[in-house]
Amino acid sequence: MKRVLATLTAALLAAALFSGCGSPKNKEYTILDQSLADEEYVIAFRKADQSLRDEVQKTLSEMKKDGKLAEISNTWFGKDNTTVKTDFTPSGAADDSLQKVKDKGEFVLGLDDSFPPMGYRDADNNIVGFDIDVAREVCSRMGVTLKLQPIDWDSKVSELDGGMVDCLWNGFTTNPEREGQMLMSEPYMTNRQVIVVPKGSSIKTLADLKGKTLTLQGGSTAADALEANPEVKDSLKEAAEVKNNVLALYDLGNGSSDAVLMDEVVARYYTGHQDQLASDAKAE
Amino acid sequence: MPIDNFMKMLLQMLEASAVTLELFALTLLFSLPLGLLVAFGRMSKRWYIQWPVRFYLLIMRGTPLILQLVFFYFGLNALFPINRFVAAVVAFALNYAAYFAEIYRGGIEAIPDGQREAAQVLGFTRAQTFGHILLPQVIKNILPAMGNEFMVLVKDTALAQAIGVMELFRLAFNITSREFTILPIFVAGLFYLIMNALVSKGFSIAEKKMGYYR
Repeated sequence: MKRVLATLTAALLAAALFSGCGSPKNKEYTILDQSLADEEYVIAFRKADQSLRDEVQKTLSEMKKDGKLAEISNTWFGKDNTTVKTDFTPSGAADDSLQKVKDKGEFVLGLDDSFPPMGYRDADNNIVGFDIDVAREVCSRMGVTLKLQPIDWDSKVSELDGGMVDCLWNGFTTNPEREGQMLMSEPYMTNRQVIVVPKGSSIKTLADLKGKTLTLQGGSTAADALEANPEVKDSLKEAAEVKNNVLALYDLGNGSSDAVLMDEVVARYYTGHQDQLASDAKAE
Repeated sequence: MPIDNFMKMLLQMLEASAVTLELFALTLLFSLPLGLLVAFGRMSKRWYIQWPVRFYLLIMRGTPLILQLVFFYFGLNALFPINRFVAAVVAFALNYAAYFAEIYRGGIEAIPDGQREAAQVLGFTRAQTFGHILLPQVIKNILPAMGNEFMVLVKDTALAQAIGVMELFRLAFNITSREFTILPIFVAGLFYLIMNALVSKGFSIAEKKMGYYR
């Protein structure tokens, strides 16, 4: 037993020693100017929950007007990235969804807690992020508590429809298919599907991707964007889908792939503004 | 990854391991006895008992566990609100009971008829025969197979993340996204390895203890 423990401790120390080594963080990346798709982030509600959506939308517009939204955006992105409009027209719907949330006293936000900088875990395992800060302010203005519920992102529609969460708010990209299933807020931020390549790569434009290997997160909107661009997809040697963006960038870092397709907001977190967005900076 | 974040990560993984172990223990608590009942049902000569049990065994062993988790969580939630962790325990217990039942059955059927006949001659009741004569021999015979299942269960707990249970593997993947390194996944692997080293050790001890007559 003692020997087993000694071996395990040694393995742990070795692992600690290697931390950082081989990490794609140490490499330099470039984001291509040309993007695959322009997208918009929205908050998704159940189809029937019109009054709840209206209240959240109204609160967001107020926050845009009084500068609170700009303030939160500034902490995370260094500028006001939000596209919320200051004028708001209610739909006039009178369902009981808002009342239900108020009676419950809590608003349950469903998220994939591994999507920096929108919603992720800080070093102390607390859920933080731009979306989280905004949602917290919205809830305090609505007079309810915010409950953060991490979910498996592949089951997001079942979680929402089953009533386990009241909304999906996590850098959620809208598209016609999703609009058929859910009720969306007005877009609050724009995002692009961008190509990340190592610094000095010969790939400068989308056309240069011909015959190359592209890595992306399976089931993501990046995958949808690639589907929607057959001329790019068909020119590739291979499109490899991995579990998350970090693994995709690892693939790029060790040369098994030539480029990564991902959300610009996330790409900037990993490649550019890493220090500025580091969770520790949020601790104050 | 900064060293103090690494230390924090170790502590968080220890906490997440508690969730994993809790799921492990509760699954065993329900599936071990349930499996025995199912084994009796499978061996029953009455068709209206044996056939439904066979059907249950086919479903539980014939579909992916991850699918069963999703089914129990979202399916039961349509009827009444159910906690994620509870749904995970229900799915794991029903799934593992099916595998345990077949292991029990193998162990029970491997015992020569002579044992039962001798007990009958000596005037033991059916319950006494099972409890005092057959069961100890069954347990001895099935220990290696059970050891396999226990170790698989420790690792299978990672599937509970499919219904949003925050267990060890999910935590590791989350830290990966924040810290931008895949190191946490390997460290989580060490945690699973330590847990399974203990399970494996426990089974060696049990086998040694049960090794009389050898």
